[in-house]
Amino acid sequence: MRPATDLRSARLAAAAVLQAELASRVPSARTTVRPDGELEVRVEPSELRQAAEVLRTAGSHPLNYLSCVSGVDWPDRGVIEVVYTLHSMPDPSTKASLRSEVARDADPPVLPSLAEVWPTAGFQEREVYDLLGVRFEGHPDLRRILLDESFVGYPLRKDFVDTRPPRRRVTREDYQP
Amino acid sequence: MTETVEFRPLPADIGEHELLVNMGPSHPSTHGVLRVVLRVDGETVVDALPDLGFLHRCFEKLAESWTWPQVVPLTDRLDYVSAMTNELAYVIAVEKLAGIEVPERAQVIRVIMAELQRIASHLVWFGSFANDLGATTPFLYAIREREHILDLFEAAAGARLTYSYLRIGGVRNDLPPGFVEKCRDFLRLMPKRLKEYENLLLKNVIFVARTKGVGRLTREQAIAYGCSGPVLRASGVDFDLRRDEPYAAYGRFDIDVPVGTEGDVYDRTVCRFEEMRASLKIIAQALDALEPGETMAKVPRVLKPPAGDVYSRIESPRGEVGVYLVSTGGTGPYRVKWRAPSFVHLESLPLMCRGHYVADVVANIGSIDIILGEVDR
Repeated sequence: MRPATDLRSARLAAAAVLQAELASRVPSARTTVRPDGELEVRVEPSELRQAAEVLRTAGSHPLNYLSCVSGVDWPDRGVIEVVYTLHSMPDPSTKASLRSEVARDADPPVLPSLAEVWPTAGFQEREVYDLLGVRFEGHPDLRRILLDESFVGYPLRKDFVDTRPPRRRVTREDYQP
Repeated sequence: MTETVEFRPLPADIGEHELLVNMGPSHPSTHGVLRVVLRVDGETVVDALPDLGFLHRCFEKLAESWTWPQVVPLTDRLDYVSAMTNELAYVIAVEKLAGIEVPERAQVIRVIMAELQRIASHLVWFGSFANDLGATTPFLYAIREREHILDLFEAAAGARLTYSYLRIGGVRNDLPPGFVEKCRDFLRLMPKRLKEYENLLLKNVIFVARTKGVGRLTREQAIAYGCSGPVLRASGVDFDLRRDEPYAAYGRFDIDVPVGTEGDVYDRTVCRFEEMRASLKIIAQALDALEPGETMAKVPRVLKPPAGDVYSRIESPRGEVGVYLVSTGGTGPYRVKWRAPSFVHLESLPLMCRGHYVADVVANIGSIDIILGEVDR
């Protein structure tokens, strides 16, 4: 068992190492370290793959465990942001979030897939594609996952409008045995 | 307007003696509505493709139009077998975002509830998993013990399945009179029952023959495919969020973490089973650590966390439940992403099934303990 302060200082130290590593190997990466020790990495889509490779291997506790892939629609800025939340395993002394933004009006918005770096990205990237319409280049099996194949549109976009015809509420009087 | 949907044709490389078989969406062992497209050669599974989404209820989209506290009851409906831990995952994430300090008594109550819920959830898994493999009796035994826990929950929260007991900033109400005593009664009863279950199932020759060496995941595969919880630990990774990244009051207690070696269905079964014993130990410590005090922090009536995002994870009975929240300073979440362990585990299902018999698919699905409410959200 380790106290929470230890985990925080370990994460801060690991973040500093990764920051230096990224600065030399991924030119477009902009990094910030959060107070809790999480390293925030923002990269251009073209260097996403390279940044992922660096994070996957660098440091004493490499980020070998992809926890979560989430997409966020920002219509004000005109972008969709995809966030990869990463941890080291089995020692959780490193935490990072890898972010990349893609123009939401692009047809379609394209990002490189990281399913080769972390195989677990397969399903989660499919989910982002399904709900937000980001196409992941190089994904082994990019299909809708939660919604039906016949579904039109991407419901987690902020401007999504449900176009199904309205339904009337059925009352007791409607019931004709 | 009608649209035509083209059905996916048979794979081009399908062999002469191979068949495509739909397992599900209505199959007793899929525990809900999961469809697995099996490619079989005789009795041997060549490939298994999970097809999900039959229970999709737009949780993430719904949450965006509700306020922060309103989402708590929604999270109950994701993993309905362990609603308490889902609430815990969500309220901890919101508290991190809003910087709310939770009173110590509430933290300890949360630990008690989460561990009781873990035992209840594992009992459901134990019963239905045994049932899938042809042993009908354990289900009746397991449900009997689960009833004790549900009674405890009913006394505290008023509900038996979807509690909404944990609130942002604490818990809804203090423990009712008599709760601690009844809980201690349960702690005295349960070890004997667990011994009984062990003799009933885990030492059964047929059960061992059906599970040993089936659905093996190596340590590297388990980490690469994002496995968590008992599935990860059965593959030999000694990692438990309760111990290694403590939340609520877990940092104060001594936590046993059962770890397997083989990563097969049998090891996953044993890991889950031993976790029930570990949970009993944590509850006993937590009951001793209960001290009088507040159970709710001062939370503004209209909660507006500062703009920003947070990823927070906890150890649910099934694995790592992660919540990614984005706030823009409004009264409700801008984005809620639910990282469900069952969803992630389904991706490794083909790895487990390839090369084994069709009947082993049932054992594999049972051993990762999927809850479709959580997979499809």
